[in-house]
Amino acid sequence: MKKPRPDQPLSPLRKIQCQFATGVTQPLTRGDRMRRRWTDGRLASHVVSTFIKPNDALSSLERLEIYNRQYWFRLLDSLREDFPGLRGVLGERRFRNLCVEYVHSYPSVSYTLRDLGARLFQFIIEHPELTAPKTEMARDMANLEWAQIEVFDAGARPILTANDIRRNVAVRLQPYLRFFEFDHAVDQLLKTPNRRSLWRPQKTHLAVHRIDFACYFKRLEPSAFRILKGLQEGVPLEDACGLVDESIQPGTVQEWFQHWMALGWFCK
Amino acid sequence: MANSFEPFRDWGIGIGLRVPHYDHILTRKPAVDWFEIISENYMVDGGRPLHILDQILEQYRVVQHGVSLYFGSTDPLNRTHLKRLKQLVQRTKTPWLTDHLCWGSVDGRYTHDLLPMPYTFEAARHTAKRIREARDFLEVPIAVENVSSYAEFHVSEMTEWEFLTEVVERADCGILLDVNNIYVSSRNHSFNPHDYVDQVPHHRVAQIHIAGHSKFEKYIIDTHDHPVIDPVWKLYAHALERVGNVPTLLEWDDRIPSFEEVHREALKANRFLKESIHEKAAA
Repeated sequence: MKKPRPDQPLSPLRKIQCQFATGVTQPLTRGDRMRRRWTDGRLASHVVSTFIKPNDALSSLERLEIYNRQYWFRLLDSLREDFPGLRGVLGERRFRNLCVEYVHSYPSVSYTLRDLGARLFQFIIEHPELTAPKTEMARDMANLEWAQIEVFDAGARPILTANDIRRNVAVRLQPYLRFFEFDHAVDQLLKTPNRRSLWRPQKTHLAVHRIDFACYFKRLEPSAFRILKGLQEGVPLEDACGLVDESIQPGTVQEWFQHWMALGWFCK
Repeated sequence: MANSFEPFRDWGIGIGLRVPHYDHILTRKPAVDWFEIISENYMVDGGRPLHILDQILEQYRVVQHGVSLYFGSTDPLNRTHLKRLKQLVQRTKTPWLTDHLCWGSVDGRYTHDLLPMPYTFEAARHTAKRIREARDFLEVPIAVENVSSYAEFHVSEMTEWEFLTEVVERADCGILLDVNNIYVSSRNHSFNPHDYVDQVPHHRVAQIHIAGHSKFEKYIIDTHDHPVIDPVWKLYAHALERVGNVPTLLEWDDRIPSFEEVHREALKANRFLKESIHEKAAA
C-alpha cells in the first residue's frame, strides 16, 4: 500500500485519522479503560484534547475511550468466537493475553473480520512464551481452527465422475480441502480440552473437509495423508500413490480412493 | 433534481438477512418485501454463505449494505475489496449499494469500526471523490449512510447534516438516512434531530434505516440489539413527511430474536409509510 514519504507533510484529514487510530488501537488497561499515557509518554488526556472536543458529560479522552473499548471488545470477541478450542487449551486469561498481544503485533489488514485470525498460528510460533508449556498444542489448535474458517467458505469445483476418469480428465482435489499432520489429537481436544490424556503428544493426520456446507474432520492413515498432500501439492497421481508404505495393500489404497470419490473430494 | 432512486420508492419494508433466520426463511418463505445483506459476509469463494444467498436470490429482492468501504479514509481505495464487491454486485444484481459516511483504516490497518469524520471541506471533497471512484468501478448507484458518533472534532467547519449534504452533492450520490443514528448522535452531541432531517437534501434519500440502541449513563450507543424506541419512530414519521415513501430497513444485529419478532417490529413502519402515502395524496 502506498504511504506518504516521511518528508511529505500529512494532510489535516490524514493527521487527524492517524491520531485517532493511535488512540483507538492502544491496548486497554487491566480494568478495560483507556491508557492514561499516549504512545510517546505524554498525558493522553492532553493529546486527545487537542483534536477531540469535550462535551457536558464526557471529557475528550472519555469520548475517544468509547471507540478504544469498542475496538478491543469487537476484535477480542471475534477471536473468542473463531478459536474456542484454543481458548479451552489456554484458559480465558492466557487466551485473552495472547489475543491482545497478537492484535497489537498483527493488526487487521483485511476489510473483513473473518481474516483476523489468519496469522495467529504464526504468532504462536514466534512468541512461545505466551503459550508455554502448551505451545505445540496451541499451535496445532490454532492451525485447525483457522482451517475450519477457510474450509467453511472456500470455493468448490465440479465433482469428478467415473466418466471423467474414463476420459482421462486430470485428477485434482477440491480447493476447500486441508490436510494436516499434527503433534496432538486436536480434533478430540477441541471437544474435550480438559481431558489431560489428550495433552500428551500423539501424531494425528487429519483432513478438514465439508459435506453439505458443514465442516468435518476425518482421521487419515499416514500413507493416505501422504497421497492426498502430494496430490494437493501437484504431484502426479502415479507418483503420489508411490508415497504409500510398502505394508499397505493395493486394495486398501483402492478403498481409500473410492471413499474420497464418494466424499466428492476429487474435482475437474 | 428528481430522486435518482425514484424507481425503488415502493419497495416497502426490508429486513437484514441474518444467519439465525436462514432456516426459517428458506423453509417457511415468509412474505418480505426485500432483504438487506451485509456485503462482506458474502464476499467469499463459496460454501454455505453463497449457497444460502443464491437460494434467497431466487425468491427475494436483495440490496447490498457494506461496512468497510470507508469512503472517508485517506488510504487509497482497496482494489481487492472493490473487485470482490463487484463480483457480488453482479451476483445479487443489487439495484443500489450502501455503505457508511465514515473512515476506519489507516495505512492499510483496519479498525472494523465506523469512525467519525471531521466535518471539514477538505474531508468532504476527499470523501466525495472516493464515492465517485467506487461508483464508477462498481457500476451501481451508491447511497451513503450517516453513522452514530460519540466524538466531535475541534477542526469541524460545519454541522453533520451540512457535511452529509456537501458530500452527497459533490459525489452526486444518494443518502441512506439512518434515523436511529441521527437520534443517537443528537443525544450525544446535543442537537435537534428534526433539524438534521429537515436540512438534508430530501430528493437524495434512497433508503431509511431504523434500529434500536443502548442507553448508558452519559451517552447512547448504536447497538442494534433492541426494538425501536418511540422517539425514533416519531423521527422516522417526520422523515417520511419530508422525503415521502422510501424503502425502509430494520437493523437487528445482536441478541437477535426470532424471525417473527424482527419481522413484526419492522412491519410497524407500515403505519407510517401508509400515513405518508395518504398525506401525499391529500396534498
